[in-house]
Amino acid sequence: MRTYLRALIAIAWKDMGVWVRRPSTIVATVLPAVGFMIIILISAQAVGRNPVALVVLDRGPQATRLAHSLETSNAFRVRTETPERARQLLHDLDVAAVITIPAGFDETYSAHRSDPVTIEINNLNLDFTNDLRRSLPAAITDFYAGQNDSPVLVQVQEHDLRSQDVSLVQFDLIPNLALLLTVAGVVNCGLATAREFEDLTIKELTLAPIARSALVGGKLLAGWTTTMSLAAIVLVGGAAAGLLRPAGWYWLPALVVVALFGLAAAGLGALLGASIRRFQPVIAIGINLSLYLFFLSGGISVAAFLPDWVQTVARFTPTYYGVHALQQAIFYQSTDLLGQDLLVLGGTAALTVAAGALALRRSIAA
Amino acid sequence: MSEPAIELVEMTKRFRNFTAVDRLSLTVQRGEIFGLLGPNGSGKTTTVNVISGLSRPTSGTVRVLGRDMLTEPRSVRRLLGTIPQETALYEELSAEANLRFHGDLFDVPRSRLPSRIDELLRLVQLEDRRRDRVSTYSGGMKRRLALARALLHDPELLYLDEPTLGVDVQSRRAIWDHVLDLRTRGKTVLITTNYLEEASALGDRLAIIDRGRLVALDSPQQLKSKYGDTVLDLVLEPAPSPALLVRLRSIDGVTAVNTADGTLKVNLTGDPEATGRVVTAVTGEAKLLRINQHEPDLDEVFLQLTGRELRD
Repeated sequence: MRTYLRALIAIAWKDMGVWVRRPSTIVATVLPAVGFMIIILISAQAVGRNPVALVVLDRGPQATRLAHSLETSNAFRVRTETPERARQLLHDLDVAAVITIPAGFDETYSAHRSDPVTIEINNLNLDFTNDLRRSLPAAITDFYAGQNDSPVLVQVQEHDLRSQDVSLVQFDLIPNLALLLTVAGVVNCGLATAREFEDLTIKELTLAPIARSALVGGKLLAGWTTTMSLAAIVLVGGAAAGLLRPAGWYWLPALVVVALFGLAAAGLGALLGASIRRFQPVIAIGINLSLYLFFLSGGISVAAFLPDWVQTVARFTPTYYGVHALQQAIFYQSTDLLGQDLLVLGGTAALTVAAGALALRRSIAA
Repeated sequence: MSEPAIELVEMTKRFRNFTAVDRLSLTVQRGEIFGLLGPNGSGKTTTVNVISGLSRPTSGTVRVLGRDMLTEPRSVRRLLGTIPQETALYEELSAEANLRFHGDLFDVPRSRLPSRIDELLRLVQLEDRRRDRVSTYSGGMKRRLALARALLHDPELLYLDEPTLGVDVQSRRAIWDHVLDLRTRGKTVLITTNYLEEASALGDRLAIIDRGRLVALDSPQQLKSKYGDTVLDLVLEPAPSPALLVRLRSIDGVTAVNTADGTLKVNLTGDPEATGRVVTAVTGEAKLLRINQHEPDLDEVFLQLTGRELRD
């Protein structure tokens, strides 16, 4: 056992030594995530049009005019729904908010009395929550601007689903962290594996009196460790800046999810490296594959607000579950669907590690 | 009496329908330098892969240092040091880091590892470059480092694959000296090479393999004398006809007749009259432009044995 562990750690240590001496590889690993973060920082300045459900409980001319004002306000993407259906859509994250024009709106309007137009907001992140907060009064102001009568005081009542607001940049740090983990795991472990074949150093390993499992384990350990070291920089930096700071014990699920993410990506990297055995295609395929996984899991938007087919694909993408679990743990102090997320990530990690180990063993035997 | 270092009995290796090694039997004694010669595709690399446990034979027995390679591959690998043709060093790491990694893989005791690394770097004269990246080394330095790595775990059997391929004359000489020194230290060395000069200079015995079969096995001197004491190189105009070749083969004292690179090569026994008979026969049919008489080298032995040049 001591000999086994010595060989396993030596292989991992050697791979890490090679990794730190190849800064170009580290840059290639970090670049996609940094690029997307820059895009997010720029796009955070822009204002989006969020999907909202409009419930009109008054069929009078004023209520109809207000509904029309909202529909044409260009602040939202409005769909008119029944109260039950609207609530369901909000719950399912199909809309960002529900705006309700109450029954008797026309009557109170004519009497110049205050009548609350309510808005229920899914405050998933501060960016679109603020968009809604700003947009509704603006739309109502537009409505009153078109009236000849004196204005009626409209009170907006907000009910938040989440305990805290999250900025768009903060919110998108999580999918970016997921992208970094995927690229780092796939590229680092993929390159470390492919290089052994391309540089023919695999002979040094296969001629050594070590168990094949020590060789495979060493490779995966190195891929996972290098990935975790990059994740640690992001997490520590994010915590120091106050952007990624889970409260209390929510650190634990966050770290478990990050660790599983890295392991799954390292397994995938070993699979790619052992199958392709050439480092340039491994970099190209590894980065592209990671980007696809990133976008299929929602990317820098909210998967739940994307078209149905994207959502369907996202549910078959492991990164989707990882991103969800991290957002819940880090931002909302929630364990909502954590069991499901961990199960999917754990299963994916087990699957990719097994496939990577198998591919490596087969390539060595060939 | 100790068991042989390598013992192959009727070893065959097939890849689908292709037979790479066909019922090969040979024995390498402990403490000898044994050369394995053959052109590309002759089966020597497959043979060595089987000996080092990288490949399993289709049939036959392979015993290395008294152990069955099939059942005890890991214990055999522990006693085997290898210098692959491509050196297989980690170029981003230093010489010292490469050796430390090898020591960990072969479980060299931690307490002994630093002194062993010092000793071997001194042996291959790379002490002053020990902390430099291997990527900055010349081809000869990499070969020497590969030799140090192969010796680090003090193996009983060393396998050197084309040990001086692509290195300068000075490094080649240094590597030869190291290999010859191994014999004095009681190590067994298996060497594959295409350089016949190298095989002659280093090998105690040579095996010549062609198309997966053993075609000759003896000491370099014996191989040379067995296949003719003298070789005549003749350049004729026009080139010799098939009928002339047949006629030459029938002359007393002629053991073989071949053509290579436009030169007619005639192997002769020690009969002093044979040279005259050959010259008379060829001048009757063609103009003799040049003639050279010399002792046979292994190229000619190989040509005679297989009808092909070594680098075909």
